[in-house]
Amino acid sequence: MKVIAKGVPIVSGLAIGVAKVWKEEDVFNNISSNCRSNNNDFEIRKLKNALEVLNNKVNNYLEFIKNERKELKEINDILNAYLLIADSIVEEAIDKIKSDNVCAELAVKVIIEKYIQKLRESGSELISMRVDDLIDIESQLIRIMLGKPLLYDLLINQSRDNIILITNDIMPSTILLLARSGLVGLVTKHGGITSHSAILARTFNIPYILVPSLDIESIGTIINDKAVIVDGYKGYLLLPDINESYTSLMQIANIIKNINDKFFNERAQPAVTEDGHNIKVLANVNNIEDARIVLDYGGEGIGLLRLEFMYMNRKQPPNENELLSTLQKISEFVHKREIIVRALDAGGDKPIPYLNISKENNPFLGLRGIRLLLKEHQDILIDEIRAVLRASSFGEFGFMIPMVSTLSEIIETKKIMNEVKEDLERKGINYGKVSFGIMVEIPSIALIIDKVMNYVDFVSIGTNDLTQYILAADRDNEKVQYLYNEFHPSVLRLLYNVVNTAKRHGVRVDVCGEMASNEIAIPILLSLGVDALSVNITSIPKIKYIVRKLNIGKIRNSIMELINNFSNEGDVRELVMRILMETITELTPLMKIYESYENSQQP
Amino acid sequence: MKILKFKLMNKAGLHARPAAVFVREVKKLNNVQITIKKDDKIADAKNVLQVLSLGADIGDEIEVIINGSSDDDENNAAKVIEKIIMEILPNLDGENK
Repeated sequence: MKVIAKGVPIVSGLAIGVAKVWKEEDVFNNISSNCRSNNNDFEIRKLKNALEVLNNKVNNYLEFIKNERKELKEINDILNAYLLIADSIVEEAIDKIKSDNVCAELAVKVIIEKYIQKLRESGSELISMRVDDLIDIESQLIRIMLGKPLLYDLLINQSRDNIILITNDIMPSTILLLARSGLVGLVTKHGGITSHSAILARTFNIPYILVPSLDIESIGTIINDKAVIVDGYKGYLLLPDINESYTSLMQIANIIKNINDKFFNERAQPAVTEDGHNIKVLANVNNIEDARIVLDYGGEGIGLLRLEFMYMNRKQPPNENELLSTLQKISEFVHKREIIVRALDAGGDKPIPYLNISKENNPFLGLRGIRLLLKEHQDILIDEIRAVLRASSFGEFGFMIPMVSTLSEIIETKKIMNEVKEDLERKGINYGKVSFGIMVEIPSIALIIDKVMNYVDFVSIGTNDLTQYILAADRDNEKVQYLYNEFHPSVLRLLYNVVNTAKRHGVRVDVCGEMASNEIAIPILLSLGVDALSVNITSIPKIKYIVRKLNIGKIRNSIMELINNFSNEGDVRELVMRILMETITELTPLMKIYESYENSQQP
Repeated sequence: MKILKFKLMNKAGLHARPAAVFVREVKKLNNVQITIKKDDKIADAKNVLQVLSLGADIGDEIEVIINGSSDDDENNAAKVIEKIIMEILPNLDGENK
């Protein structure tokens, strides 16, 4: 088995099927911006007719599935929303035809573009995602008017059973129609966990992964029409070896599914180790929509709230009040449990146009994170601090700064924080207590972590960057990926230094990098003494399960000894694999499967 | 004219499904023109796209402005809208899970 693409799980589950790589044709760009109407009545009739065709298609579909699906209500609601939106579009497009004498296609396009813009500016991630619905309706109305077949008609005509669709975008209506004609798995480049498409895929139990790095052209040549597997637990698209039989693939699928069901069923149980250590399992959250589902997956709060989404797709940074109201909403979603907010982490690799970040030869060693905020955008840092302080009179908040490499950055940030507090007091504005911490992701600060202790309430280790910087290997560079290894003794020794020092000073240690979502890392992190793990939302049930099964007292010495005195750089990982397989026997088959994926990854 | 003020308490605010439910119910009210105001944004309550564009989410305060041809129509509309926002929409949250 070979890993073809790694992405983010959107809908859990495992699907085996035939890969259909789909590159959609763009119908919108062909509509000229001077498409005029010669006869307004004719254009209006054409548009009304297209709406009727769409209505009929949807209603026929609802009729068709009436006896077939238990989840009818959800689909009904979504499709009714869909038709209401189509109604509003057509209503306004008709006004447009009358006022501007444009053709029906252009009228639809103009109205939809106007609303796409408005929805994007609404400041709500959830609403921005409804843009999908708009594009979907637009493409259907326009295709009907141009007499072109609809996307799903095309797909249905060429496909057979057990399709795994791999495409840039998937429209809700496509999922609906394909779900009853053989769609079993889904891989897309764009999308999100709460898009309508994702909700529908979940309703139909279609495992779905999102692969932002997906290159539809090149992947098509490798896997089109071949048997593939979508692993919606781990986020992998897999290509089985030629000699693997369907039965053996089904067996693998069942093993993965059964153990993951077990994790999920026990998600509400607290993460306390067998010998009584209480570990906080928190969620990494990228936007408001993630926050809505944290508790559903058993998360105990948010260990890393990335603020970048607040700054994307707009022309100026959000102000203090906007940040405050978003933080309050997120706090409501997690029932006012703990939220650790990370200051904006922008830089040359994550450009935001209005920040005017100059081009750098080496953005990973450049003006990023707290460096950028202190040097060029203190106004943003101040607004964030004010918002978090004010939100804390409402819920429980922590604030941390990314890319810290020197003590002076910490001292300077704390000075700003104190000035903000004084100002709030002077103005009689309510604020609450905020714990302060730093991300430990640069070796320099990890090596002098003892000197940091006086200034912080907690530290949160970002293992992704820390590993990259220690081994000087870019994890996105295929040629040196083999060097990127979170289990390298150099990384583990530095982690030990940080955790041990923090423990001595009574400072809490979180881990929020991908390592915390990796089952193999958990025995190590707990042996080191980590207090909290902040993980991908869909990994929360798995991580809590593993924590509950471990006895730190029993495994700590052997792990620590091997970190201090190893013969091979892979020793610790091997030991931990063995520990996990011995102590959590139900995990063994799963680990063997994933191990074989990883081993065959390098061609 | 009648003006009502609400704080949205349902988990998804006036997004997608809740907005559609809201608009579908409001469309049944004849002889009244209903406008929703959030901050400086205004939407026709019978146009789902405009309602969505408000970006109204949990905890947000909205104003509903009802203009009818008679007091009866306005009072009736006010009652219906209150029921939608305070009862029907929060009930949708429960159905999601």
